[in-house]
Amino acid sequence: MATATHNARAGSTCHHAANVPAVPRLSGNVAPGASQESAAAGKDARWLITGNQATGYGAVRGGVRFVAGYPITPATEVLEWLAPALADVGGVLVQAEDELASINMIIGASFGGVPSLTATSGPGLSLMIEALGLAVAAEVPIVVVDVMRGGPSTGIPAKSEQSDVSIAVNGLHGDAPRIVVAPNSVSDCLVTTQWAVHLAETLQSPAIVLSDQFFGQTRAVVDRPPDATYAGRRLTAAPNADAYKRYAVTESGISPMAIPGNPGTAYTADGLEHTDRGIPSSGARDHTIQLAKRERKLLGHEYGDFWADIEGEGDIAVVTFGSCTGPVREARSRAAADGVQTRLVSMRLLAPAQADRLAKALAGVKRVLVVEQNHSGQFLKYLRSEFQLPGEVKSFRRPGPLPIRADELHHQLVDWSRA
Amino acid sequence: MTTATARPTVPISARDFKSDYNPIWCPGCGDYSVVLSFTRAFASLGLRPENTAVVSGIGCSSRIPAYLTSYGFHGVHGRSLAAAAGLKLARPDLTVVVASGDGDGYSIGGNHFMHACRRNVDMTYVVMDNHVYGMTKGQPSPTTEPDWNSKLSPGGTGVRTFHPLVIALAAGANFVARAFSGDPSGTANVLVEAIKTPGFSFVEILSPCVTFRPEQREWKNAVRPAPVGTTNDPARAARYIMTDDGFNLGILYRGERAPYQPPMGRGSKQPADLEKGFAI
Repeated sequence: MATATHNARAGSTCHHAANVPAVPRLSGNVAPGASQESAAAGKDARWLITGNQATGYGAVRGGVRFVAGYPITPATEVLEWLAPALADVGGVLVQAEDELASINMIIGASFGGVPSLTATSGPGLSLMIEALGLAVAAEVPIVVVDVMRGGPSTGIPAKSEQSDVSIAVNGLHGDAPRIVVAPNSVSDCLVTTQWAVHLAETLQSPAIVLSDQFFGQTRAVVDRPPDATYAGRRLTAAPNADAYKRYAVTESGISPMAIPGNPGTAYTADGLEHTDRGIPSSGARDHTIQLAKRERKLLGHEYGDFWADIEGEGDIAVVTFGSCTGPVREARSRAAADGVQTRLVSMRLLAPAQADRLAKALAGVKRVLVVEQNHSGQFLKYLRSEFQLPGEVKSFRRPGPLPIRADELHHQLVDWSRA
Repeated sequence: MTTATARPTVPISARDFKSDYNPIWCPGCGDYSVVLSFTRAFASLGLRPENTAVVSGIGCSSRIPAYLTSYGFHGVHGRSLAAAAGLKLARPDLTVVVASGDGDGYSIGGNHFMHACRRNVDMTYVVMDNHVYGMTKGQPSPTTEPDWNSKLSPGGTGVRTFHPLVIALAAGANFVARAFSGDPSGTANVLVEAIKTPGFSFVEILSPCVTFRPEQREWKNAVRPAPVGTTNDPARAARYIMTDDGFNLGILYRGERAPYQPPMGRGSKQPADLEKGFAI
């Protein structure tokens, strides 16, 4: 779907990176709709897999062929799984000297036309924030996986917490739109990471994947996740494109990106505010135009139903994300056995906020329970900043390391329904 | 869809590597001549703009990519070497040159400098050293003399200077040279050798800041060709560099270390082949 849209957008002056002869051919790139089947892994296969491995495989399936990273608990296994896997499929993993280097390396590699990713946890994400802003301003697609742990600072490195919501959705200086997605099961780490690569490439934007220690280091038996055709290709410039403008103002906000090796379209990618040609500019007009362009390309994208898992009916809704989704599902089924019907909205796309979709999902709801694993209610604060939540709103939250349990949620739902 | 048509390959002149964008530098800045040296070196090597990338951080010197016609990347302060390493490792077919200054390269980017030397990716690192932060209007950098008076450090920092060439050598750079912006041809020749030498090449270019360090106008009288030739013995080079006065120009060290280049693009498995490891 996305690729077809892109071809239409591209018109006659653009084509896809795969056609640029100077770019090394990356074997194993996923073609849209291509079968992922192999004899050893049929559709009915069951897997023994950790969330961190699933994340790594999702990156590869999405087309990532360059990864730079720095060891950090609990994200290291994403990198350790990717190191040999990338070599197998024609990519490369580099161990960087620190997280500042990791993210700048992947920005450099992606500038060179190769889909790129890094994986880290809260302290590393904190260090990467400046360069995430660079990826926004210079419009370089990258994916940053944050396997969340207890924070702040060194915090509780080997225990889970959902306390990086605020930094993920707000943690850049300037007006810096970014994509934030969160898988909601061990196996969903695969598809959601693949989706993040697809979105980053399609929208020439950084995407943050909020996984957590619970998913990352849980080894689970899962059904083989369905094949997803998320294989976003970035819109690239044609050789010798006439009067090429890297940051051309388009209706979608997406501009053809010239990949080094492409003749006649040399440009300088810049973290300085710039004109449509990429020339540094401090002018009010250029700033306003480019801010609006970068915002438009994220807001205008059709994210589809994958933005959230929405289940059930009832006038109580539970809104959650990530690893709280499992206990919420269990609590809902127990409550249903007690005759209490509830809805679930497990948000996979946190940013950009999907206000209309959430309003639709919550239509007719009288009570909203927001469930998250952190002390200050970061997810609820974010929801309130972006949405008008209907009816009475309650927060159910607790920081790590104690998990949110189905049992306590079940009682909460039943008690509330009788209140 | 546009068909990719190869244009006939015509020789590219130094002028073709200049952009039409005028530098923001002060009149008399040494960095103007460095642009000239870059363009001459690129032309002399027969490079093409589309296959050349100049990566930089933040500061006066880091403005260079926009003044050239080649692919350019003007990133964040101090991280140019990391961005350049990612680019070169992902795209080994490109010629990658990094432009930096003494603040960007030795202070905020100091850690990356050390590890870039150690990693030995095949690229050329050019630091325009004027012993001052110029873009922020005159603060001391790691190469500023300890008694240099400034608003930020009245009476001087009292901190000894950093010795970049020796650090590059100790950290494993494969090529170490010093050049002077006032000699654009000599600098271009050094850049040609730096780019031709496999691995990480480090070129310090003394490039006067006439605005905040007007006394550096005298550098033209202080520089001289190094009285010794190029050596491949790091101990000998280190001893020599440690004892010179900072004004000896030339290629002081050229080693023979193989560059770091993981085999990008060689594996031929399909992603689905990786699933075998998950199957129960």
